[in-house]
Amino acid sequence: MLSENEDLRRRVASLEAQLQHVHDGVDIEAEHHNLAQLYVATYQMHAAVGFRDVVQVITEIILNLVGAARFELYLFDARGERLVPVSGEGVDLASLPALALDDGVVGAAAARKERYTRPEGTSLGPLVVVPLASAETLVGAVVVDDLLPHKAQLTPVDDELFALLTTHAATALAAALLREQAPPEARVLDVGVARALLA
Amino acid sequence: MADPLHALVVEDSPTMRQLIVFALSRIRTLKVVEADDGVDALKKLAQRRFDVMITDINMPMMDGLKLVSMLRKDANHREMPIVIITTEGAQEDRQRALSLGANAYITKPIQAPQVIQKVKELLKLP
Repeated sequence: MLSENEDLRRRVASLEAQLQHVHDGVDIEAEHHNLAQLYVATYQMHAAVGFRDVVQVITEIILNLVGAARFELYLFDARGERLVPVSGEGVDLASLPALALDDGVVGAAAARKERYTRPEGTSLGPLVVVPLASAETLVGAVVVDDLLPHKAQLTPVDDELFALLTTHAATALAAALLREQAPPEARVLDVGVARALLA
Repeated sequence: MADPLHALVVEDSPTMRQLIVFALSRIRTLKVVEADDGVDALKKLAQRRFDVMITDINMPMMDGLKLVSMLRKDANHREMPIVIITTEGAQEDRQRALSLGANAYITKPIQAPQVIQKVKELLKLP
């Protein structure tokens, strides 16, 4: 009887070890997927050169990686000191007003350059506001209103994607728009300027 | 060492395409070829035999439904397992694709383990 108990104990321990191994495997796959999402988002963001391409990549990240059903992209008009809606999905852009920096949770989050997440248990207002800021300069904001019906809640990797958007999307948008605003002759790389900057 | 299996990923979004290719790279016996849309897929399918195809539905040039329909009428590709990518809300498209001959579907936002599992099931891989 004692030997049988001992044998059972050993088998349980072995099964527990195997189960842990399976769980570890599942965790590794999930972690691999999360890292792949972050890599792909960063890679695609930096591979995009044109302004329209950058907006398309941001749209794909929000829709296909985060799983948003409805979102808007605002750009900050520094002259007018307001956030202007320029793109989105599931919304009528023409019906959206430009927002002052103290206007509601969107304006406030953008002004503070701090992400806003709607408190649990409430359903009013945007789900997430992601300010886009490059080197402390506000470039715009992404506002996520709703997730896809089968996506119950935001996940830790969504937080990572939003963090990535905050800086990388801001830089990519600003660089792409400045490049497209510049006259063609200013788009040629000037090695003399490069050397002067590194001197 | 056994010959590798070949998968064709048809997706117009570079972001989604790269993510699916990453997921499939976890299946070591699988070589992955990418196509931008249905027309590009047909070109790639004419060049070699594929063991499985994963395709989006909404694409420019030729969408996934048209692609599935054409392949199921072609003796060379009638038996090739096809996985379609849909959104949860697009039930009509999903039913249409399955009735046209797609074997399985995955929904956006895609999860790599889900993609791997579907492809392994269809290829009868352990």
